[in-house]
Amino acid sequence: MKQKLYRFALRLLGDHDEALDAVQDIFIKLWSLRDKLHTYNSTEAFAMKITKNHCLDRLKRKRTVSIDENSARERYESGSDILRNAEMEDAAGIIKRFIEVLPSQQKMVIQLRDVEGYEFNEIESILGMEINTIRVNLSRARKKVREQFINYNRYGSEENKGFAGKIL
Amino acid sequence: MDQKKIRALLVKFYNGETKREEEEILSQFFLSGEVPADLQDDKAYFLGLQGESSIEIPDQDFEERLFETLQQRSNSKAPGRPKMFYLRITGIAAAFLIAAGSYFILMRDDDLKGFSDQYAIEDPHRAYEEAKNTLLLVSGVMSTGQEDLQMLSKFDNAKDELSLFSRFYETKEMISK
Repeated sequence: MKQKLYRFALRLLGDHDEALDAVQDIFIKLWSLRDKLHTYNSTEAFAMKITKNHCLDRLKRKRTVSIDENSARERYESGSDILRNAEMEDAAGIIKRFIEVLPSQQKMVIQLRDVEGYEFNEIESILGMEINTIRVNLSRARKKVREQFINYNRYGSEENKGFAGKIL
Repeated sequence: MDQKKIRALLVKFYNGETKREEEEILSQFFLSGEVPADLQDDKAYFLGLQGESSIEIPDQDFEERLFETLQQRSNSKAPGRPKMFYLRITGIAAAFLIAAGSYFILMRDDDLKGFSDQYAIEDPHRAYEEAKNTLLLVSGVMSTGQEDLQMLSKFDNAKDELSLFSRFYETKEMISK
């Protein structure tokens, strides 16, 4: 479970140290609620919900958009920077960056469904969203990531053109 | 796997309509089989997702530090609860004593004599004895309360320590999953 919490926190906060701090805070919170944990249907879903709230609060306190969303977007828009980043030297890295610049709700839904494999009813209890809204956000997120990947592959800089094709 | 079926599943997938099992089929197709050229972008998507799900906490000491923090918090919190409870009860007892003391002081005030005529004790010696008895009664009640508190505090400490052990293992197992 700790890995799922960490990945979710990392997705929302975008920083390894902050994500680790958040996970530690969340476990401390769970510890303080240990006598009530049995009253929840799924401890894991409850922990993920706390993670979401905790990370969104942290972001709100910092008054930034998640994972330095703006700077991530800038990095994406600058195009050539993507290739220079060692992390981006494979398709997974490129997809990861495109997920990072999604709006928060889409980002959370794609993380919970496509990365962690939760069922829609579990996502519903974690995010407090209706299943239809989850499906709509998921569809938009998937389409957007794919579309950006295709655009990046086709219309990127000369340097980038065909790069993704080569690595697959 | 039939490519026609894969393409149909992909349409459902991008519309957010696939079930987990169908997504598993897609994932297996893109990650293990031969993928046609026009589906390479979709393959990248599934490769990306696979990469994301394999991210793990890189810090080896994370669990150790977490348990240390939890232990520190448990140790510092355990004596805190009875202390606060004790302070609260002592506060109530003190307030009661002050009220009782004020009552006897006021009773000695001539201006208030008329107000409390029907309860007044004319004989100063008897009045002193009554006051003494009342204070002894209050003091007795308070010391009984303290004994109970001490017992409660011992019980609470022992209970905390026991639950600390059992919860420690439960939580450790939960985190290790």
